[in-house]
Amino acid sequence: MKVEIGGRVITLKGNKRVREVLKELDLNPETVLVIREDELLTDDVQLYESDEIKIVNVISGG
Amino acid sequence: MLSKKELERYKRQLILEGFGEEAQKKLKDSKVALFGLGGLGSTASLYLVAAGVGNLLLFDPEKVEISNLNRQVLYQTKDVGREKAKLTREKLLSLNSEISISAYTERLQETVDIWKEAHLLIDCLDNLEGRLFLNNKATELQKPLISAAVEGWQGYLYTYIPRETPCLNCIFGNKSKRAEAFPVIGVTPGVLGLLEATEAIKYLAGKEVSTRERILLVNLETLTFKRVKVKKNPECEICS
Repeated sequence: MKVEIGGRVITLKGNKRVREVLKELDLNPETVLVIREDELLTDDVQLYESDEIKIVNVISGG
Repeated sequence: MLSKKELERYKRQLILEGFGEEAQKKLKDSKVALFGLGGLGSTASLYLVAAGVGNLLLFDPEKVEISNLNRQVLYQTKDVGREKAKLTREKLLSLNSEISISAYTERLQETVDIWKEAHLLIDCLDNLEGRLFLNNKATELQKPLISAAVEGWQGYLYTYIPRETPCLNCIFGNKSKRAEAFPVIGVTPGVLGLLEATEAIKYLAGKEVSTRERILLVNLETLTFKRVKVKKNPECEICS
């Protein structure tokens, strides 16, 4: 699957859940949001090799 | 009824298609509570007052610091050290003295009794813990909540309508609550504050908001705006 993060695109092999993708990329699930097409995903969602996802940081400033 | 003076002041929006006197009257009769008078709140409050929101409650316990001035455009160098809430009230009244503005410097958790009668809550806070507190109270009191946050060149905007849409806890409940000085360029809270005011004016005027069940993700570095669907968390301890 293609993972866009911080302007870079990384390719990962196989089907896996969101939490497994974050673990593979060494990202803390508490600090990011994961998006597929136009939907925000929870950590338990199953992803497939054909998916394209985007990871953005959680922000909280004002 | 709008006065002759009000008809003149709001003339250019009264002629807007689908707006008119009826919508203007709704703005005039509404009471809005705005939390946080930093980068987001400076811009949002200015446009709400210019548009003619009739009653505005402002909440912020902080004083103006020199490092605020790259983004908190209501304040000037001579204002450093002054209480933001009281100062903002003064400045906004000089823009539009036709409306009622109250300023409060108590801590957020101590102000609930003051704003429980408001028709709409606007979150311009700078930390997730405060946002989730507002979200929980909005749920309890059944008040709509418009929320935005910023960092760097990025921001988000979302409208929570209790009993109808997923709440902020569904989206951010399991995220880190760490609060620290964050990097930011002034235009980011400027744009997001404007968008908060935009959704507020639409909501109060009886129009459909665009961030209901969809969070708007903004990246000003690439000038991309993307609305993303959010789902209710069936295990959310706040809204489910």
